[in-house]
Amino acid sequence: MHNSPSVAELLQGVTTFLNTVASLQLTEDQLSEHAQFHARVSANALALVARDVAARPINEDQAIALYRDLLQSDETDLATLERAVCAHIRTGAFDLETQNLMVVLRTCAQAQLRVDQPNYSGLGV
Amino acid sequence: MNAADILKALVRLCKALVAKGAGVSGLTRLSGGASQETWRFHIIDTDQSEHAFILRRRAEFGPRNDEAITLATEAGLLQHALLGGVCVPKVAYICMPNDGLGDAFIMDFIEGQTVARKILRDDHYRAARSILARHCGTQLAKIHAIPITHNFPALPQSDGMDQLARYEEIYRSFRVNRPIIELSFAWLSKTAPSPSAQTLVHGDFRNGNLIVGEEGLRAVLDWELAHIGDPREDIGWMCVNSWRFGQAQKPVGGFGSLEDLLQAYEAAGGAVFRLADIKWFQALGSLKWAIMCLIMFQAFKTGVDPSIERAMIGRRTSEAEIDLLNLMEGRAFA
Repeated sequence: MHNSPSVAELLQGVTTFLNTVASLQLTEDQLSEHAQFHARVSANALALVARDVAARPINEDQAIALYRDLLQSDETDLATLERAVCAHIRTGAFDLETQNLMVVLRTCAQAQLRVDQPNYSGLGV
Repeated sequence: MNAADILKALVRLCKALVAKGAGVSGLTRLSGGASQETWRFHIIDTDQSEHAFILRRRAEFGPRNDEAITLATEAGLLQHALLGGVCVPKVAYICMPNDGLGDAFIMDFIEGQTVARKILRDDHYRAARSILARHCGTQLAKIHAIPITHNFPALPQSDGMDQLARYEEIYRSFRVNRPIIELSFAWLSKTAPSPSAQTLVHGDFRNGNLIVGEEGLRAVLDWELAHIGDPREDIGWMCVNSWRFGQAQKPVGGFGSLEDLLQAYEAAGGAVFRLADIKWFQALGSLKWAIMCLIMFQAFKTGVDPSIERAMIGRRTSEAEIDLLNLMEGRAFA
């Protein structure tokens, strides 16, 4: 599972916002449109953090198992496996015709998107 | 510069250009991009008549997009577009260095809606939605027909393959490993359509940059990514699923069909394009959007823009990845 931004970075961004803008204790009328927008984004970030924390262990285990199969490898580190898949694609060893590649990529992308943006229309296509 | 400084500069300008007794009122910052500021204000003439204007200026501390043209160039482009029959705001004034507003220009304010969710959902825009894809086709045909004559503003040149190479370089510089992005680069370079005749390309023709009224398209805004290149890029970009806001079954901005857009495009004198080539440019668009999300996340990560909004855009990379898979596999509504 990808991690950019990570849960720690998201929390840092929300904390910065809360410390600077929202902590001025303005009423909603006084909060500028800009601050209201960032307040909504902050709430979305916290909801994402909750989904990420709940799903990351399962998603990472699933991705590791799928990439290991695809690469016929016994590597256990996800970042190393992702780097290897990318290298295979870049050299042309993997392409759209490679058995299982598209299914594996789709399974991982769907798991990622269910954390990042569960209502995105592309999930249902 | 804060609002008070901008107001002071505008009042000075207005007294010099309109009339000594003229005034400025209602200066408001509209939500804009990180690299641009957009302000709305009214000029009150000596006979008390009011006229609404927009000031566009380069943000002083914002990130500079190296593909973006200057605002003075953008203003020149708007003037050419208006002559070419494109619906754009009329440029009122291009700022000079001693106006104290930086790289900036002033144009007419055009009333209307730019927020896609409202255009796509509100009853008020029901009739507009049924005709918007055609309006987009007509406007794009006119944009692509604007003659690039000797007095035309100098613009960057970049076609589909140039952009693929540039975005791959940016992606590599981040040293991240995203298999779907990797596969998309490989697939797009293998399946690229043969080059078309070069034209003016708007470069960011999509929901958010179009002013819509109840009767349809009123104005095409935000020309800062304009360049000379492949006209199919604009059509493909308009079809990227990220600008459909949930209405995936309507490829053109979530409101219309590609067939309607292309029919109107041809009727207005535009070239006849192959659907497969438009799809290639749509996939290039999704790939560019994936990398743009990573670029905006980098701005957060490196502290250039520490706002939570920049961080969260990083998590939109995955929407582009699923769209890219759908496009590569040729799924319906992709």
